[in-house]
Amino acid sequence: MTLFKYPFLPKLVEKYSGIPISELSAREINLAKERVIESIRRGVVSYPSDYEENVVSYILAMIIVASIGDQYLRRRYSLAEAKTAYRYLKDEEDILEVAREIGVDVKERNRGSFTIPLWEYLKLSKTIRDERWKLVNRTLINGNVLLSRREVARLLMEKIRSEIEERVSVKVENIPSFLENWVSEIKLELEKRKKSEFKGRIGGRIPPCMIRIMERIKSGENVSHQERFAITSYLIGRGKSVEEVISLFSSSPDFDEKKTRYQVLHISGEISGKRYSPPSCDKMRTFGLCYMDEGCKGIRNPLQYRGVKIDRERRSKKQSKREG
Amino acid sequence: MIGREEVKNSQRERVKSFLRAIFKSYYSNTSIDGPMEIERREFAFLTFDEIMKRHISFRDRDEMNSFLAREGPMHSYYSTAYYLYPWESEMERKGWLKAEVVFDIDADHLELECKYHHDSKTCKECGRENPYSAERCTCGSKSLVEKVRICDNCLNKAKEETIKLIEEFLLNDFGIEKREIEVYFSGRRGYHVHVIKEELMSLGSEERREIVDYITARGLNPKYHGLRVENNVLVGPKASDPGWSGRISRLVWKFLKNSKEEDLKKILGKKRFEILLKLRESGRIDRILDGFWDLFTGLSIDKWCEIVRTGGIKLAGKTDEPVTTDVKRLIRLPESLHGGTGFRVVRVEDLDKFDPLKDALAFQGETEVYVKGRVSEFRIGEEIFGPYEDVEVELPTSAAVFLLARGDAVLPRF
Ligand code: SF4
Ligand SMILES: [Zn+2]
Ligand SMILES: [Zn+2]
Repeated sequence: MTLFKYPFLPKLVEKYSGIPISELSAREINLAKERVIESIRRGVVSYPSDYEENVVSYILAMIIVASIGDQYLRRRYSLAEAKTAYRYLKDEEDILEVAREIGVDVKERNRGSFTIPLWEYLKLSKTIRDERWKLVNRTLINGNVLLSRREVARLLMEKIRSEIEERVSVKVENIPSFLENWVSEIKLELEKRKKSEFKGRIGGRIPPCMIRIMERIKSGENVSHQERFAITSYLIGRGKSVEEVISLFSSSPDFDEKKTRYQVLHISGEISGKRYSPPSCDKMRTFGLCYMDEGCKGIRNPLQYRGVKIDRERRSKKQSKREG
Repeated sequence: MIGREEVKNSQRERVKSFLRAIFKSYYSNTSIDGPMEIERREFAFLTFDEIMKRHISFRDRDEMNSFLAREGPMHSYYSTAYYLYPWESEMERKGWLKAEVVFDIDADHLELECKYHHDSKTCKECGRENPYSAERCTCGSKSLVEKVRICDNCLNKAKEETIKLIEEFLLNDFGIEKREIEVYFSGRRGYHVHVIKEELMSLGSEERREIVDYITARGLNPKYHGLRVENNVLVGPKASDPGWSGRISRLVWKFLKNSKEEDLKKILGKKRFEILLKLRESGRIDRILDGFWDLFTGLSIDKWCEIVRTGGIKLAGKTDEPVTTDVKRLIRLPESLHGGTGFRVVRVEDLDKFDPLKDALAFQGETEVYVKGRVSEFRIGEEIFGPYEDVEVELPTSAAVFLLARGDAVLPRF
């Protein structure tokens, strides 16, 4: 049956969860580790061609992710699994069956056109921020939203992602000993990934105080209210969007998207109409958040940090132009 | 000697205690059903002393009714949300479970012309009445309070908008069933439409925002509804297409058929406008309803957006914070009395036939009042009253309460 391709189907997970550890092959355990590492590195996973191995390695991978207990990993892994599923689903005939198996009420209207109940659509499309996914830009027929196969796949992806994320969010107290060896390797991989992503996202010159806060957030530590405020107002001041700032916080262990959104919107002035600027360096010092370096000379506010360096660079560029 | 201020104050006190007493007697003689799962709701009341009582909860209907009869509140509200602990004062501790989906339509937000004729602004400083368009009082003060009057135009327009919301959007597009919709007169110039459907109740405010945007046409882009250029010719939706697609076709058709010539010329440009005039004459303009939009090839998509967005529903409140998206909102308690008019927040079964000035009256008998200043004609039931000016009159109690509640009358001296 083709459905076996999808390891997250509840009935498959149920069937293979019961396998005693002693019966697992070294190969399967290794596949699970690779699965997690691939999700970290590439943001997708590869399905082993043997479907049993696929399901078993998926289940083990979830246990690994859950036991590491890192919010960033949980999100990245569940997104990787969901993306992979999407790649298959978007052009396969079995999309209706998969939908039924994971409890989404999709119906086929004509060939290639599908419908889904309005409220289900609203819940699943919530995280997709694109004009074309706004309800007002969809065709509604009697409480059902009209969708193409690809769009159904996209919504199923969201469902799969959130279900997996929920599963890997359960606390695993004792890591099975045979997995223990892998955990440190995966953690290492994870740190590498966080660092590179974090660099990519916020370029330019960042004062050391802000780097510290971002590092703490990225590594899943709980940061204080003052730190949150400082980093948010700093990033907004640097022209980062509300979404970008929210995604920074998404790796906090107690991430609450709604609350975060509200706070960020508030600081950015979209709610109050008043945009907050970051605390002055003096204030930062009194909070114990200042980690001054040579780039901080003569500045009063963390936002000026970039200014100093860029000015210097520009000046030297201009000079070299003149000279050249 | 008694000063003028004191006379005024004691008059106001007498009106208040009269209204409180008559509200109490209404509640003593009426048994209100209250919302479903009453024990899960939060209630809030504004007393005639203008004290807000919040986070009140009742075990059952009887408890609520005896509260009402005892207090005779000026305004009564309940939460559209269901809570585990409705009496808790902090939102985090209330334990939100789900909430009704509610739409609030009010003549105030329909941008009606008549408002400029009958509404006014009372000065807080000197008490003078100023026209609605006034920014400041003739005395120079800027603290003005809007004084709202109700006219048939206001009421009819609010009704039309409500019917459009229900028929076009809720029943048709959303597939909600008639029995899942409850309509209440707001007690003043509008209607509250409650949707009681389990699947919708668990939606959070982000999802409700999408519903609101859908009915108000916010963010609507016709290009997602089939408006496109194909082989250099504009193709668009047909009138019979579902949802916004068909609505766009009908709206544009209506716009081209009924708009004033100068508006059309502005939007279409001279050349297209002239072609349009011919098409209007020959009736071939109906081609749009069948999806043939070729005449308008080359008209920018922004222009279409402009035309099409007029087709949305206008909800009460700020566009970015209507009642519907707020899952913790309070709304008027059905069958309670509106303290600004004395009308009942009555359930409307047949919107077409509903006449608030007849069907929402709460009191029997006659009452004598002294009309202060000038009050223009108004209708209560089948009868027209007024105009009055500084005169003592005997009115049906509902009409008397209406004037008293609005501050247009006081009680006569004994
Ligand atoms: S001096 Fe200012 S910018 Fe530099 S680390 Fe301290 S607080 Fe940050
Ligand atoms: Zn004045
Ligand atoms: Zn009016």
